Amino acid sequence: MRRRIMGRYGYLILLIIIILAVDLYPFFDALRLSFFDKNLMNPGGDRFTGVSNFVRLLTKEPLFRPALWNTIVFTIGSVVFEYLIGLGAALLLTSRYTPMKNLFKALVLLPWAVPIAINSLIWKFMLAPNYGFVNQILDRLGAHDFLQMNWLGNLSLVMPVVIGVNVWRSFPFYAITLMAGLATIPRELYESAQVDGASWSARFWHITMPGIKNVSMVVVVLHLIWTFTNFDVIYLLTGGGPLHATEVLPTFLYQQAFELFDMGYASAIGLFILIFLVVTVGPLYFRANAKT
Amino acid sequence: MKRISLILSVCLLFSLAVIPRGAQSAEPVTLEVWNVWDPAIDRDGRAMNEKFREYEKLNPGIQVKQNVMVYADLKQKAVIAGQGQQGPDLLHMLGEWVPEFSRMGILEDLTSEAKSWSDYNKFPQSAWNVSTVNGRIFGLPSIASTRVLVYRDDLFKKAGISKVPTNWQELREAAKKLTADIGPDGKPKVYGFAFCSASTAIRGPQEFAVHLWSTGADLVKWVGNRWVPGFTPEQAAEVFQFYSDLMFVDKAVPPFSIGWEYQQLDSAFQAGTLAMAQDGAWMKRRAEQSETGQSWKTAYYPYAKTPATYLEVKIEGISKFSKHKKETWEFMKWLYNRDNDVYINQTGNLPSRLDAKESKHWIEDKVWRDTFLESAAFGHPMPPIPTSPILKDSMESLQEVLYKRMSPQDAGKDYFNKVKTYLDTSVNK
Amino acid sequence: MARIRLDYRLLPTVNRVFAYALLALLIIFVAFPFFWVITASLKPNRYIITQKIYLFPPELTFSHYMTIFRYGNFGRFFFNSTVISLATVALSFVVVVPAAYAISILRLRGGMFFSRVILSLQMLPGILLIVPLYLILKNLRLLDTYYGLIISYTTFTLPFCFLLTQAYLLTLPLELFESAFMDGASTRQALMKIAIPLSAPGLMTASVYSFLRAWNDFMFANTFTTSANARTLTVEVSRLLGVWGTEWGALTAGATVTTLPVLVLFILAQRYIVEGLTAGAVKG
Repeated sequence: MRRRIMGRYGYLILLIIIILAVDLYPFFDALRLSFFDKNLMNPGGDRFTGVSNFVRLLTKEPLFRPALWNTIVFTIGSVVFEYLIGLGAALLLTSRYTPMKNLFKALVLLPWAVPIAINSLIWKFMLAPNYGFVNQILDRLGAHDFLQMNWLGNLSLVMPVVIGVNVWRSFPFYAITLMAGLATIPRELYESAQVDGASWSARFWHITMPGIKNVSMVVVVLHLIWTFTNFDVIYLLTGGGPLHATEVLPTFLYQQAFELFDMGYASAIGLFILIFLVVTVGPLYFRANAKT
Repeated sequence: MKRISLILSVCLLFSLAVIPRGAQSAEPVTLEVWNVWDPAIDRDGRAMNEKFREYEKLNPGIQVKQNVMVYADLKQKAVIAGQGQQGPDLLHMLGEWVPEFSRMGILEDLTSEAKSWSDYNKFPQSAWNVSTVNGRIFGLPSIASTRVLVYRDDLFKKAGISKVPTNWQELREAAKKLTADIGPDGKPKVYGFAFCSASTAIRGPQEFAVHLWSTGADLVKWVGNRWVPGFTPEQAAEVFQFYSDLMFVDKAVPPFSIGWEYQQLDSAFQAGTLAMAQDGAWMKRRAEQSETGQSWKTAYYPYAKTPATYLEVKIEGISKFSKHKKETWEFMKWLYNRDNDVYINQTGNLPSRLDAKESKHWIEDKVWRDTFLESAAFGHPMPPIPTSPILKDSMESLQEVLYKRMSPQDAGKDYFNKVKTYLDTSVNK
Repeated sequence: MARIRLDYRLLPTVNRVFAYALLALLIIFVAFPFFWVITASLKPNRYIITQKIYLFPPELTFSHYMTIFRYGNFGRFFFNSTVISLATVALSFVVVVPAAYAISILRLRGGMFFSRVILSLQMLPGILLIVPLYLILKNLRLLDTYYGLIISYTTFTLPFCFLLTQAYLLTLPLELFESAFMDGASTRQALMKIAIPLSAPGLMTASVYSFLRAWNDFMFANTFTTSANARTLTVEVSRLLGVWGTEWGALTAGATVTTLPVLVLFILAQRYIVEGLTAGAVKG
């Protein structure tokens, strides 16, 4: 066996090379860049500037706190509602009253499986003032003021609307994984509880919720990370929103890197995102994964 | 199963075989053109495509490939490609990009080629000036046109307006009267006026600049040995007040138009929901596609204190990283010779060539030609420095006013400070 | 006691009606926007930009589809997306399967450590890597090529595929392999003839998931491509939103074309997609 094993490290070579090239090297390069002043508009070398990028970000950047706040609001708002609706859908789809479970499972996945660019097109179309479906329905229902309402252009409503679209897109993931979790709860627990006369809510809180605790944690933690770092949804819907009302750290990073070409500063923003996540969500992530 | 590995190997082989390899050996020379003329929606775009095919026939061995984008994308892609030491062969640009692009080193210096061209004098010197930075020419001016007031004559008659507005006061009064056709929800179906305000707007800052110029100010000016803001905070405030009054006092601007870009503005005009707008010669194409097109008329754009408009010059340049610079220059000279220039610019966008403007096609068109030509007398080009940050800031300040987060006076001060800071930190180094 | 018994008899019917109503709501919530967009792509413009709601197209038109294929060059972008996504799947496979095999079956030393590294890599968000990846691709002249995108996509397909394949392989009984080795099979033969076939469901799931991620990506494709050479459908659709700002007929047609393969993949492979999601969360 030993000779076999030695030779077989070769099986890992390709994977190691690619991971080094595409994950680890860029990662460390991003770390390095955040300490430099590299602006593609000024040809000529990078200048080492120590922590000045970070100082600028944390103290002098007027968009920092709004973007951080928006990112937190967007993340928590999305995850909370995604979980609630996902859980509701999961319960509904595993209920004994639901026919054709597989069909509905597949249908429910639709918003998640479709490219984000398409989702944002769909909702820009549905939310358009005057001829968008949403405004038309509201107008029919008597809320005439809403016919010309520009949802994505309204400073106070745009963030809830964007969260809503994100929830619509993401909740299927929760639904499917929670369904898998629900399936692992032994039926006998429910049956004996019913025999004992337990009400629905008692069954829910004492059997269902604990049973899906692990799966819930994993899916929530994953989504906290994914939503916090999500660029596509907001960029494609509002580009950062009217007057930065939906500006989040990822769109801010992108703007610095690819519209103003300040790569060093952008890398510093990226590093901040990473540190923030490691500090806030990191412990949860490793705890959730340790359990499985 | 063997089937899976079979499928996978087929996929792999297929993709390897099909993925184009790097630069081909240069037998057919392919000229890559990046511009905005979309044959899908534009007659001139189609005409240009025909000319491409004609050139290919006349020059076997040369292929012309077109990559169509909107201006915002075009700019970003050109810069990104330039960073990668890449670029198209023929690059269409807005005049205001030339200073930036030349500074970034992504444009080829064409001074000697241009000056030795027999047709050099057929283009107005003011147009060549736009593509000239520090005495060096970086492109050929393909289009030189101005902005005017485009309005619906039939709606004017219906509202009983006999005199076309010439100043801001008259514009506001007319806009108010033209906002009409109240629907069952109490909202008007037709608005008197609208403008662009998207933060990534191309048109919006140009409209803003026209308004600013007409207060007698300038965007920037060269004083002594540095660039300073060419306007006072009060003049900027006057412009923001104008926008604000139109929207909130006269209620003549659609409330859902905050954040509009040129596509929405022009579409609204074409759809008949807008009576007036600051617009350009390309509206001729939309007029031809619209039922009301016959009653679209043009007039000098109304001013505050002094007539002003935007002298828009579009430049065709050659990327510094093009591998076929000579062939591209030959192609450009051919494409913009008198006959071809006339052929590809018929439904909007005045060609900059003086003799093309005299062509039979344009000379008979009072509406879509004379106003533009005559307005050039008071047309201002964009300043010869990289301007995108100040243009973008103008839209941000405008949005602060439109969202009622700043008063026009504060926005004026704020914008003045932004311009001053930008000039001091980035331009006057 | 008696009252409860009565309620229990009625409850199923009430519950059933309630469940059906909720189901209907759920389906409308999830599917209606797609329905609206697909029907819009078949309506002439005047039924789209209008104050009246037309649930079904009063007239059918295919002109929008013709526009995007003839003038919008959609065939090219469809091709790009397909090739890139398939190549990403193939590359991920070729790289991941032998490695997962080596670690799970051959139990190479340091394998578990390696696994954990990959697990934490899964947490690396794309937005962090996009700047250095862009600079790397720029220096290697791989911007605006298929290769550049395919390699970038491995950042998110590799970790997932590896973990999934490893999880499947770990469920295989070692005795199978041991007896094969004793019979003189080489490690490579064991890989091809035993490991891969037996973990086929997991591999299918990983392929479908990778394909979806590659097909749907916007961020990398948008940043790393400049011309029609390597541009994918998702980038093209969002670009069109800017160009044809209000031409909803053509836009919805483009959206439908981009979504079609996903829908087809769905119908054929929904079991694998569902498994992929579950595995991601439950197996960690």
